[in-house]
Amino acid sequence: MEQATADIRSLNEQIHQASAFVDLLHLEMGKVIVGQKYMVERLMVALLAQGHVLLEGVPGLAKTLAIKSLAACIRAHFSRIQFTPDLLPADVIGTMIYNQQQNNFMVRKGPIFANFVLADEINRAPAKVQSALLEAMQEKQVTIGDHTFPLEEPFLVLATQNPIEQEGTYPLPEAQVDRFMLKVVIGYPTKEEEIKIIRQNIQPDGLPKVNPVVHPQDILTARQLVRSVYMDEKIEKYIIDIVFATREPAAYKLSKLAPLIAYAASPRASINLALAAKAYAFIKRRGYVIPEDVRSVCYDVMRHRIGLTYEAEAENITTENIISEILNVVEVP
Amino acid sequence: MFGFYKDFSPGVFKQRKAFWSFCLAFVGMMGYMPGYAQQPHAEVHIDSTQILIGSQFHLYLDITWPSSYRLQGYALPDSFNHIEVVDRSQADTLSTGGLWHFHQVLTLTSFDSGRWQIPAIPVVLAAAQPQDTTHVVLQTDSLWIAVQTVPVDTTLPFKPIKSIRQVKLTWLDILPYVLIGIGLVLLVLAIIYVVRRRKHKLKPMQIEQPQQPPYEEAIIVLKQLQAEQAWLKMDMKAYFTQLTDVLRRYLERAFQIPAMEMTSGELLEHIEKQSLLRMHRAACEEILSEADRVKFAKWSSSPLVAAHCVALAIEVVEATHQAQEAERQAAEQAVALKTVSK
Repeated sequence: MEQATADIRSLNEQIHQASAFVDLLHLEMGKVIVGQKYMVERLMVALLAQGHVLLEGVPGLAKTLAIKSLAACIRAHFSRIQFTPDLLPADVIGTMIYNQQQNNFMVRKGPIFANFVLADEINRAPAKVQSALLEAMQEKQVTIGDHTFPLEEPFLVLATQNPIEQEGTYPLPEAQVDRFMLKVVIGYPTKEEEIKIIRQNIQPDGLPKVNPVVHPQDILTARQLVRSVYMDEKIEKYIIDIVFATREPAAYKLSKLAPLIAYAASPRASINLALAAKAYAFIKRRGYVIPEDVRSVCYDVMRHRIGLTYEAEAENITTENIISEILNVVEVP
Repeated sequence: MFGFYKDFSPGVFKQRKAFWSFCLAFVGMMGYMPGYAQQPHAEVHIDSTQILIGSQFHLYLDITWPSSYRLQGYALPDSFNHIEVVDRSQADTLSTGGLWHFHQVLTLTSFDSGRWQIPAIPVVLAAAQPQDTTHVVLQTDSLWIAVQTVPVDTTLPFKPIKSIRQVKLTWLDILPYVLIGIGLVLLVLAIIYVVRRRKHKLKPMQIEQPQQPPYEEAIIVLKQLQAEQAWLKMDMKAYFTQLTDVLRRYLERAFQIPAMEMTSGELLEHIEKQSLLRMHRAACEEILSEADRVKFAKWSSSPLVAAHCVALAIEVVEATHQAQEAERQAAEQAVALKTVSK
């Protein structure tokens, strides 16, 4: 026991030191991003837990600016792909082009070859393009012609979806949505925040510049530490209880939820919930996970992994409502 | 006697011859009678020789045969010679003194006026022994039946057909429906009873324990933990789990905070909102954060800290209970004062 305590203490100290960059990142990003702390925090969770983020929010909520600033802060390469109905997989991953001078084909890498990729309005491109991106996300490598290229770490995809204007879109299939670790729904800023945004945007010098404060290697080291954050079996059981409550609501005295859930959260939800909770604990500079960490990331991990029935949709019940019900019933360890 | 034989005159001789002839005939008849009784025979007779058209009459069929035979059957179709067989009674068979007697009553009718013959009915007897193929066919007597038609007075004028007459409903007419209705109601009630009983059976018996008030429930366990120095006897993780569970349950029951489903942070936020609990926030935070470290971070808490935490928990429970009691008494006094002033 003494040994275990010592391990956790040493881990805590390591994390305390290694997570110092989190504050720096917050400070730097705060220069250009007003408000949206929640979104920035979730970007960091995904970055540290090696996941990807699906962002849902109306246009103009600084989604692009956030990821661009994050890339700038980390001295990483950023690219943006605007998904349109005529986009082709080659436009995302790259293609082979003929070099007349050298009389051979050479690889032209696509915008996916970056550390931070913003896939803007992912649901506007056809399924084949979405699949190309999602495969790259999953495999962390891209094959063009005969050559396979690993993607550079850290690699984070931030895909955005517009909750309005659904006409002419290609909604992501459930199996592909499941590959995003987090689905973050962002809202409008507050009045005070919006005043700051106006002032910041109309000043003569334009937006302040963010400085690179973190090296990509720091992120990779932090990722290793995130994996070693201690998760007690009580927390594991808590995660399992939350996920299983979506599958067997009656077993958790939630029979009323059964007709509202078309399909429940997959084991990938449990894995991502555990990973995201560890990353969140890291951000909070703790070497161990507490129930707060699980609850904090639960909505973002679970909301796109629960399917609603027609009854639920007819009654305007959202996955957030279902998650809230579950969290209010499942006992905290 | 000898004198009787001595008179041989022709007149006397004639008289004597007639007498002896009679005696011989009588003896012969007497000898024949048992023989006739042993012979198989079939007889029919009817209870009426004339009927009105459509009326019924009975035909009695009697068959007698020795036990060396068995009755194979008799041939009388259901309809013959303007006569219909309405009913055949159960056959009655009787065995007496080596003889078998068969008796059956047939109800007959006729819908044609006239004089009709009931033909001789052939009765077939077969030898009782299976290997013996002997058959005997008996014939009954044939009979006549006169069927008279209804006399119609053609001199009288024609009358219209009578209309349908409504028959008054009697209790007996309704009775079957009433019984069916009652039966259905009873059936439905029986089904409901069975279903309910089954439901009751499915539910495990829940013996509801009378719940202790939250304060008593919490303070008993906490004092027990303190008195037994539970942190020395049990695993520190289990000890802190029990300690926080007792405290959470107390807060849930006494202050209606869903503490069991809340994280420590959320619980502290709720404690902050409650006026009676606010002053104990620091104590609760100390207990909960220490418990979280022990439960989730393999933290080895010292016995001193463990003892301190239970003491703090007792203090929180005692103080909040007293405050609640004081508040309740003040409210009661206020109500009493209001009532007096009115």
